[in-house]
Amino acid sequence: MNKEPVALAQVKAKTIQKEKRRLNAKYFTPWLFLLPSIVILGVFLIIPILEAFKWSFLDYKIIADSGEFVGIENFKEIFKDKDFWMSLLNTILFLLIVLPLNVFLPMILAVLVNQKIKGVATFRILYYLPVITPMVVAALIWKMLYSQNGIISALLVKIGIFDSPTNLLVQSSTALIGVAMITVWKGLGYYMIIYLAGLQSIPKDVYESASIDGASTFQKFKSITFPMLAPSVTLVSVMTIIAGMKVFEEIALTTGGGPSGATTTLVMYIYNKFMDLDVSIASAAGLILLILSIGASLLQMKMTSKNEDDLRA
Amino acid sequence: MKKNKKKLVVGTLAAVLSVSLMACGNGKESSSKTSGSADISGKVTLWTASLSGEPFDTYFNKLEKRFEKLHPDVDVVIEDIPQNEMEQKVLTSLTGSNVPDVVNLNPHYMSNIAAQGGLLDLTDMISDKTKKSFLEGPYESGVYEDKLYALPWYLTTTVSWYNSKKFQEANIEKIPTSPQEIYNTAKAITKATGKPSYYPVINDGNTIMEKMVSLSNGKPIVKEGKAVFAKNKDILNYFKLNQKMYKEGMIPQETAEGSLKTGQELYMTGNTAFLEGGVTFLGPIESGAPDIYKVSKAAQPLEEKNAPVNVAVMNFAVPAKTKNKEAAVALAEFVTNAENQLEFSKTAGTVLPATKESLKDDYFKNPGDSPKSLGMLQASNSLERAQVLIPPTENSAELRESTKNIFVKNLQGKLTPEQALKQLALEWNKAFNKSGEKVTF
Amino acid sequence: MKKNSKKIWNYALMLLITVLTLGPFLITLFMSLKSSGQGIYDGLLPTDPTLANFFTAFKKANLGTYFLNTIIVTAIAIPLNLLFCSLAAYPLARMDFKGRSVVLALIISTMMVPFQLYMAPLFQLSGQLGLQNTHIGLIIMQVSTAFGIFLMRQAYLRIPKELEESAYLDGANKFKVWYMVALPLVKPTLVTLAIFTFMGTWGDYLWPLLNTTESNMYTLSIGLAQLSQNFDGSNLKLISAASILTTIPTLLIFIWLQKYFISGATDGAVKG
Repeated sequence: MNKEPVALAQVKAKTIQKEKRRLNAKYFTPWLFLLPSIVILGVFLIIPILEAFKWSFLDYKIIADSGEFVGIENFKEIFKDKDFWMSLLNTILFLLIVLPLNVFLPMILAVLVNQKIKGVATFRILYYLPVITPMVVAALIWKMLYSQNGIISALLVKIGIFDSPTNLLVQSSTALIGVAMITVWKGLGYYMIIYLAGLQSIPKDVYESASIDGASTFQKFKSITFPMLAPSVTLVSVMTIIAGMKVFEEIALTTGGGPSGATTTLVMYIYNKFMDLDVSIASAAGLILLILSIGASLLQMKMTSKNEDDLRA
Repeated sequence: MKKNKKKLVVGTLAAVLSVSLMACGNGKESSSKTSGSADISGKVTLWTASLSGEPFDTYFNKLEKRFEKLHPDVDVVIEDIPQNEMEQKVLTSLTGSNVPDVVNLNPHYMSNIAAQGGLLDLTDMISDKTKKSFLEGPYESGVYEDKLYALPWYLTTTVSWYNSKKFQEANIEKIPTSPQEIYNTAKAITKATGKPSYYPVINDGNTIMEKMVSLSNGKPIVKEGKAVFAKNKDILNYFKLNQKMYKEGMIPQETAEGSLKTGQELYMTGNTAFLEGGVTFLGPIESGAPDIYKVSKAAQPLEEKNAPVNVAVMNFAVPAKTKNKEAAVALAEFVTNAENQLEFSKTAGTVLPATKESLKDDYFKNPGDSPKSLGMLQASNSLERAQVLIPPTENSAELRESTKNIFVKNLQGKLTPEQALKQLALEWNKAFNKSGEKVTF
Repeated sequence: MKKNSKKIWNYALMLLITVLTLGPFLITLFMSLKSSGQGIYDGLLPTDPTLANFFTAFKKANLGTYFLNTIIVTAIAIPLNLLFCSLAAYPLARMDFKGRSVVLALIISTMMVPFQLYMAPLFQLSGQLGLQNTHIGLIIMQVSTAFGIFLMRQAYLRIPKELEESAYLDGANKFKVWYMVALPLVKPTLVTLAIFTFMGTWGDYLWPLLNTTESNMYTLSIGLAQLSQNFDGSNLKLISAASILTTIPTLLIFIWLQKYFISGATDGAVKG
């Protein structure tokens, strides 16, 4: 009768609606999840950042809030500045020192405090202390350790790196290393708990079956722990790169950027320019810093992406 | 903390008070260009740099009340900002619409902001009488391109500080007044104590630049934007001896960092016996090394008797965007008048005022006998020959940086003193060529 | 036998590391307990231990008021940050949609810009929105942090997909799956994020300094800075005491939350 085509049409319509809704959900849902963050980050972070980067193409006078368009003049000026290149070099060197240390040392710590041994909670807390030790005091203590008649200087003489007691913060060749050690020390606990959270999600039975198969501690680490921590390694690496490129306090409190600019990083260069009201140059250098950071991070992510792809949706 | 949130009384005009009442404590009407019926009202905000806690809280509370009594329609708000972040805070605030009305700044930053039109031109808003009430040098530090932008508040000059115990150990009785004498003194002390003894403060290069002017004693080191010091024998000698002292262990290695703070730390650990510093040098030492504090003494700067030394001034400026010009200027003048400056010096116990009148007070002849007060005594003695040795210039950052870097290189023996001076002159000329300024100092 | 010696070496190593990490903190503690007659370089232990520095620091730096402000901001920021970050990170790890890489890259790159560059435009914005001198003005920078999103995303990547997929087959929608399946599995990371958010908000300095013009809205870190940059020169004993006062809450939070890192176990029901 007539009812049949109507009923069929209704069912068809309902199915189409359901499909539509499902597709809509598929399309809109991700953005619903992202909504609060996009609003907050967009308004309070991205808009100000874009505004600041706009200045790098102007001769911007910040107090007067005016500036004429100068195209890439600011960038040209930066590239001619030998201080810029030096600060760039220092930043890269700094990262090369800190990155491997930050990836591996906290990982070892995390494995140690993930053990089911007595007192492990206490160790976790003790290892976390540098993170909350105020930088002002930490810098003072490290300066004492590094001083001409301090422990580290004596040690370095003993193992033959120096001929006579030397404060490695005052030699342009070693100053950066000295500062890097402070950064690594301070971040140990911080990255340790990132790794710890990662270790928590590795199922115990994987380790157990490996033990049954006769795997040594080292083999277990190499074949199970390390690969499954890949996302954490990515996180730690990228965070190290970002933090390394922005490192400021420990340098300001120990060497002030010296000696003769040996520990002046790109961020300090930007800060100095900004404080001197050279805002356009600072913004332009900031843009360069951003591009470099993104590049370095992408490179880093590519290196660990092999393992991540297995886990990605 | 120091904030009084009083409600504004809108309506009846306040009594007319002359500007000069606040300026010099006299009752005469001398303000020429500001409007005679100056009935100031409204809210004024004043920012201080690192002057929180006692005894300053009480000082500023009283100051606030006295000013509000003179101008009942004015609501004064005083806030304190940590001085290391003062520049960032001022800069950021000036980009907004809610700016402070009176700000405590140092001259270098003041000239940067003035150059971009961020400060109110006070030249015509301050009476000649007020202008003359200040010491000349400090007053000049608030002038940029012939316009007045800031009023001088308190100042410090260079003095020398020494550990009298170590001096005794080495049998030294006199303070060295020349580079050669510095060398001899340092040598004797290092020999007697086995530790480094002298610390040349480098800072961001400014102290070295000032040293060069002092050593030059009257002869300019820069003429019309050209560096002329490369052949100066006294400066060359200074570089030479510093290099020698560093090599022979009389100057600690940490000098390469050069800040006053490091100097204080070295002094506290006994690795420095004498150095030049400002009047507030002993601050951390009082709590950080009380034994050394007790035997610390101040003396004249390590210069010839008549050589000029630097005076460092802290100013008050008024941002151009202020919403209450008259009240802001009035408050600035009030805080910097002789009476209030004298009171401030007594409260701080270390720094000096910048008004001629207050310096005549007996207090400065006899400020007490703590090491800090004796430092103030020495500072007031050297005030006669204290000037702003390096005028603010557009390229000052470059001048200071190259000076710092090259001095450190000289110190560490990476350059010969002759090479160092030559290179430094080159760098300075480059900077002057770029900015095109034709100054002489 | 062998097992015992391994244990001893284990402990020895861990103790050695402890010296490095505990040392400076202990020195800070000792400095805060030294009396006025003892110099900071004068021996390690306080010869005449006193709590005076703590009281002085508390009063001088007006820590009482500042404590309150900091607590308010932190208490609101943590749950919000946990919520928004765990929400935002989920599609970035688990859903395939157009623009995903762009959004992720954009978020991560915001971390790479030094604060000084955009603090002026941010300040102006805050003024225009009436957020100056408000607690909310301070919270906005800590809620939905790029780092938090990144952290959670990596955590989601780690959990096995099977669980979520079986939930979908049972007809649950995305939100339900996220809430009932994914979220519980990333609890350790949420704990980590809570710790970090606390640290970040508690110790935030520059933005609170710029955004507040009334000192009764100042936070702890500003009080600490006022103390260390004091006109009279830094009194390291006071600063040490103040630092310990301000960082003890962070330590307590860490001690409390770290117990959620259960050794060697897993939260998941992978066998399920």
